[in-house]
Amino acid sequence: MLPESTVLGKLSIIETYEFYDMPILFACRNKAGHVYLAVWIDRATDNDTWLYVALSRRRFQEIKAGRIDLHDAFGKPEDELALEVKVYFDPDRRPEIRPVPARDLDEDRLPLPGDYLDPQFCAREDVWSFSRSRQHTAGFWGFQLSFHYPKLYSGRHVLQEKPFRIRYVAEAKPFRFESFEKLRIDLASQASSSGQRKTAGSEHSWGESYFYSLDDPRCLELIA
Amino acid sequence: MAFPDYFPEDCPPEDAVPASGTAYRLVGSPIAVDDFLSVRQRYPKRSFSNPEKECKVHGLSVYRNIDHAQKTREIIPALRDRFIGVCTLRPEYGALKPTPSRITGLSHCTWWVAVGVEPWEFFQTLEEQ
Repeated sequence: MLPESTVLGKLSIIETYEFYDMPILFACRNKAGHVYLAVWIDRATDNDTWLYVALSRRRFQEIKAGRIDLHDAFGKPEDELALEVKVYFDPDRRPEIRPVPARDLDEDRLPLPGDYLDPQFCAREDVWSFSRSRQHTAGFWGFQLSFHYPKLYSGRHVLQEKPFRIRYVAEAKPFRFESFEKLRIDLASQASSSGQRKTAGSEHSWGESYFYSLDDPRCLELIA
Repeated sequence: MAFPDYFPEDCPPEDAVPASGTAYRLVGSPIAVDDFLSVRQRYPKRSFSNPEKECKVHGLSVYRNIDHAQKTREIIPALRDRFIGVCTLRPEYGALKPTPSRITGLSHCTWWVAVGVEPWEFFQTLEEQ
C-alpha cells in the first residue's frame, strides 16, 4: 500500500494506529528520516488514495500525545500542504502524487473532528521529553534532571498520570560510580530525600526536575 | 475446516480459533462480494514484509463492538460512506483471532474465511446512514 519509487522516498511504516484489512492510519518514515502521517481517503476499483502530511518531531509527538486531533493533524499541516497519493493495485502502475494546499482540502477527505490517537498506546519515550544538563550547584558538580510530559488524554478525558522511574544504565557508564550496587536505583522514589524537587504544571502538561550530585547523567534513562 | 489454496503456509495462525459470536464489518449497500475481498485479493501482486503480515492480509477485519465500527468510519474518510454489517459467526465460517488496533483496541479481530463460505449471503446491513 505504500507508494514505491516516488519523491516520498523509500517508505516504511513505523507505527500503525488503525488497521482494517490493511494499515489505514499510520506513520511512516523514509530513509532520509522524514516522517509522514497517512490516512486512507478513497478507494476505487483499481486503486486506493491516501492523504499524507509531513510531520516535524514535535508535531508528531503532539499528535501522539493526543493534543492535536486527527482532523487538524491532516487538515492543518505544518507546511500548509498535504499530498494525495494514489496507489494502484497493480504494482506495475506508478503511484500518482498530487500536492493539495491546506486551504483546498476537502472536509470529506479528513477524519471527523474530535478523534485523537489514544496516548495510552503511545510509546513512553515518545510522549516524554527528558533533558539532562551538568550544573555546578552548592559547591559540587551534579546534574539537573528535568522531564516534562503531557497529561494523558483519551478524547476529552484525562487519564491517570502514569508513574515513572529512572534507572542507571550500567553499559553507558561502567566503573565510575563506587555505588554500582545501585544499578537500578529508583531515583524518582528518592527525590524527596536526596534531590531538590521542583514541580510545575499547566493545562496540558506537567513537569518535574531533580538535582543529583552525580557527575554523569548519561548513564540514566527512563524506563516504563 | 479448509482454507483457500492460495493462503500461505501456517495461515491462519495456530492461535486463531473457530469463528463465533457477533461480528461487525463495514460494507456497501447492497452488500456485495467486493465487500469481502481481502487485501491479498485486491493487491494480488504486492509483496508483504513478513509472514505474519502476509497471513493477516488474507484475512478480513471485523469488530466485536459496534461502536468501534462506527469509530473507524468517523476517522477513515475512505470508509465514511460504508454501512455497518452484522452477522453471527459460526465455527464453519472460518478462524478468528483478536488482532487489537490502537484506536479500536481489543474489539478488532481478523477473520480468515473458510473455503466455500460466502459472507455476503449472511451479513446484514444494520442501519442506513
